[in-house]
Amino acid sequence: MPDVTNARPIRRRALAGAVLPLIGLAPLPARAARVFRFDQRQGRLEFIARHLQVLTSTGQFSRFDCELILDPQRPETARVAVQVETASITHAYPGAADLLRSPAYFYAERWPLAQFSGRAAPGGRIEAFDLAGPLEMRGVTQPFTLQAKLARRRRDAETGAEIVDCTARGEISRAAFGMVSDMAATGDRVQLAVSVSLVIG
Amino acid sequence: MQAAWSVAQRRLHWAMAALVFVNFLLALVMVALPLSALLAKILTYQLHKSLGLLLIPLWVWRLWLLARRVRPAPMALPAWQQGAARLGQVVLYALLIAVPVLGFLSAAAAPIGVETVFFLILPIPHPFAPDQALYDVLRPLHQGAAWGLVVLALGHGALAIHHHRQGLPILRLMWRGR
Repeated sequence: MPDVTNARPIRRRALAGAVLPLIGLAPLPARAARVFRFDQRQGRLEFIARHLQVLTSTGQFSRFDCELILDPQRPETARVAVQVETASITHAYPGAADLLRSPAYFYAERWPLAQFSGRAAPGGRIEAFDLAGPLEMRGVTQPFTLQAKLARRRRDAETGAEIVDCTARGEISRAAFGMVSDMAATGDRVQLAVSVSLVIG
Repeated sequence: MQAAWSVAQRRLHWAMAALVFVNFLLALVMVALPLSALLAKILTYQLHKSLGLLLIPLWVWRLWLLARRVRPAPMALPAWQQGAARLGQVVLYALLIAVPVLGFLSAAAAPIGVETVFFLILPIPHPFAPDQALYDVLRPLHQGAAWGLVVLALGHGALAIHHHRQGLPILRLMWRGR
């Protein structure tokens, strides 16, 4: 994992103004693509499973690394790369994390990493855009799409930093990745959700 | 007004007793089931929560009937035994409502955050978000109160049988009404 201290951007060029004035509906200063790197310290990566079609349970990955490249004027050029340590899975129910690490699910011993690299699909807006690309998990690669949303910018009450909350969600078929256990109890469709507060100024 | 347990009171008494014992056994089973039996585990948890929630309106109905009707005359028992019986009943009634309410609140506070869906049909909104610290308090309270309820109910039943053998019509009054 690279050394990441917070979700502050790496400035590729001179960065004038906030990354997301479009969201705040403020006038646009000079802009360029900005690179945001974050991990479990700034963000959250969750999976949400459905049981018997009426219940849900949520787990998390406690070690991951994400790089998001975003040009506020051209969301269609956004890119993301996520790397997840599958053994870092956590779940509130006792014993569930061990089960999920086992060969029946993520098979963390054999496949310690899951990866996704996505590019923005054309036609997206900065408030909501798709990031599509290959998701590799458990030795299987499948196409995957994250629907990203950026909230209005706000000022953090404690640090005073200007922040934009970013969330992204996508859905996988776990069977497509070879996870076919307990199909009667747990649905095939599992949601993956990333959330992070991007420090923009 | 009559000095006997009504049909509704008697049915409620036995129905709630059955619910308490079935749900208690269900709780032991659901906790012991391994995650490899995930479907059975989820179903037993939801059934346990549903039966527990069912106890709440039954308890309210029972209390309402108790307030409206005249109780049968006290048995010919020493005063201390009558006092103990009355105290036991008060505690039983308190536990009959405390156990399901604490159970529902601990389900709401449980970090796993699984919804409560009454018999897998009707979603029951949780009053607050999952909270580990609160769960650590509520869960043992629910468990302790449930054990207390079962032990007290067993004692209550054992004493009723004991008095029945002594010729007192306690069981008959609750079974047949007179």
